[in-house]
Amino acid sequence: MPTDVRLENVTKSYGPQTVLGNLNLDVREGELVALLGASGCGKTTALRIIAGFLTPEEGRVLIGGQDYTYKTPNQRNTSMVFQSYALFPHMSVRENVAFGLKMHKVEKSQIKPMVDEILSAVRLEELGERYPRQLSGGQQQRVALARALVMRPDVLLLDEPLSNLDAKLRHEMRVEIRLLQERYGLTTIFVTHDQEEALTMSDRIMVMNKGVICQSGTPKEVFERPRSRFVADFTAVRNFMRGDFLEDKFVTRSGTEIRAGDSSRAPGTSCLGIRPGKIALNPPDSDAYANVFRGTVKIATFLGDKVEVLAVLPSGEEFILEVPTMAWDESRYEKGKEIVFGWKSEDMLYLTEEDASK
Amino acid sequence: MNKQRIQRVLSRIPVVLVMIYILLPVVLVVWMSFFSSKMIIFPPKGYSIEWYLNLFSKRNFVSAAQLSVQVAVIATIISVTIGTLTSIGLNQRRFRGRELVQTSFLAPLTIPTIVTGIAIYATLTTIGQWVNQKLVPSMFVLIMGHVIITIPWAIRLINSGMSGIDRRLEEAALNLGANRVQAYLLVVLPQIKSSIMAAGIFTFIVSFNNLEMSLMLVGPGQSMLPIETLNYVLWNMDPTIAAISTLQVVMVLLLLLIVNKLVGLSNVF
Repeated sequence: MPTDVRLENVTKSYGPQTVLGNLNLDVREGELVALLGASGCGKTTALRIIAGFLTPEEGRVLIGGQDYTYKTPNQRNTSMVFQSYALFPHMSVRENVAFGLKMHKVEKSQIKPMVDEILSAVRLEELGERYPRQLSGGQQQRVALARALVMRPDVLLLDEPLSNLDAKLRHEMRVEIRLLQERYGLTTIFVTHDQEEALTMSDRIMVMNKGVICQSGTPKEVFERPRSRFVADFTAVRNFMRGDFLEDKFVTRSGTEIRAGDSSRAPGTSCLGIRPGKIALNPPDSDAYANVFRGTVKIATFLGDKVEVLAVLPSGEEFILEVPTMAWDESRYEKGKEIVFGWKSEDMLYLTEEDASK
Repeated sequence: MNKQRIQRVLSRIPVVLVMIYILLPVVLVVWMSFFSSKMIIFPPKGYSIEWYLNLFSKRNFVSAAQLSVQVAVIATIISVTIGTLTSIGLNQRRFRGRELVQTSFLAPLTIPTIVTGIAIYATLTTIGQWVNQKLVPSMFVLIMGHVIITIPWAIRLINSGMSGIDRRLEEAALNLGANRVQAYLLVVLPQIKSSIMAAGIFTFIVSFNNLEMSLMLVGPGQSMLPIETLNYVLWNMDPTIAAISTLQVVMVLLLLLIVNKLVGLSNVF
């Protein structure tokens, strides 16, 4: 049955290299948590520790309040969906799904209905007799899910489950996984390097960097209020202005003055951030737009429904703007022409340069 | 005439030549085994199956073949078992000196078999004198001698199959509640079934055809097929030898057919 998972001060290193340094993680019952981070940040290691494939050097793994740190994988009721799916090639879809039940000595008469039910939940009733190599990537992914779900695990672990699918299928599977997770109320930990996946699927996001969690919160919190430059960078903020508060202004390294209040506003800030989509072209003359700049167009790239503009200020400071294609007049804003842009104070992000938790 | 077609035809010539080079001896041997004359001469004067009958009428050939099969089967079972376990060990995790260990398993191949045979014989004779026991010749030492020369093949073939499989399969089995033994028996071994088959066939043939090791270790009054063949050609020039060879070819073909039925040949080599 679904239950909560905790990692307490977990440390893991491979030789001299520390992969997880004192990791703490708390997943509530029935919650879908995304571990978001670049490759090598330790997110997969954390998952493998929960599954029992790795033993931490220090710290504890608690599943449903019980200490599982030194239990072997087959003593835990955690189900893992692997990035490569790891379907058993010599077994049919049915045999793959029934494998775990057989290992747990479920009565033969009960296995069939359980397999039938889960296969219909992942819409594979028709393909039970096929072998993995006869299935498409999306179908293999569903078999892997069915094989994990049929165990009614305490915790469902997903290791980059969508990375082997093409873009269209990935969108479909996101929704499908989320629906199945809600249907069975599964406590789920989901590892990904894709911010969009993390934002769209999870109840909570934990952004990992260098073996620690640098920020966690709901997708909205993390997206709207990233605390560090690293997290902001990971959630598609592209304009960063490094500098310091000077009395009531923020002065960037190139000398651009930005109205950002004084340092009491956000202590420790050493960098400001603004999303390209939050910069307005020709902003209205109002108090809301405290920062308005005059620059020149360096390059404009057409992206379909929007145009990405690289603008440069006389000081050399560069900004990336996203302008709706409709608002973009090509003849007026060709390369080298003047451009006026600005943003609302409330959209500005106050960031620390390094991860606060370190 | 287009250039591409000429190129295609030309590029096939080496392939055909190599095929002829490989297959011609086999075809000739089979052909010669049916020559009727007492000396092998071209062109044949007529055909008969006299030499096959001659073969089966000679008790020493029959008993030598029996011993050869017996030794080859046991040596195959032992080396394939050890080979499988070794491959599991080698692929369990990357450890320091793994490459060295892996390569050292091939060491027996680098020493001429006759030298290994003499070494085993001489050493065990001396030790036997110390402990006042006759250690050689014995069936046990004969088989173990064969295992020494067959085991590198078994390890090499099974290990290459083993290193090609996804380690995650084993983890998936453990994750679904299998213990380590179940994970190997139910998930990992089925993936290398064809490698094990290939190793089995290869090992059997290597053992069955071995002359040098057998020559040193076989007991008095016993003989094995390669030894008997050698003895026969020293004194006779009739096609009996071709008949023996033909039977060996047929035996190997049968083995391959059986394996093909079981796992599919294209998966084996």
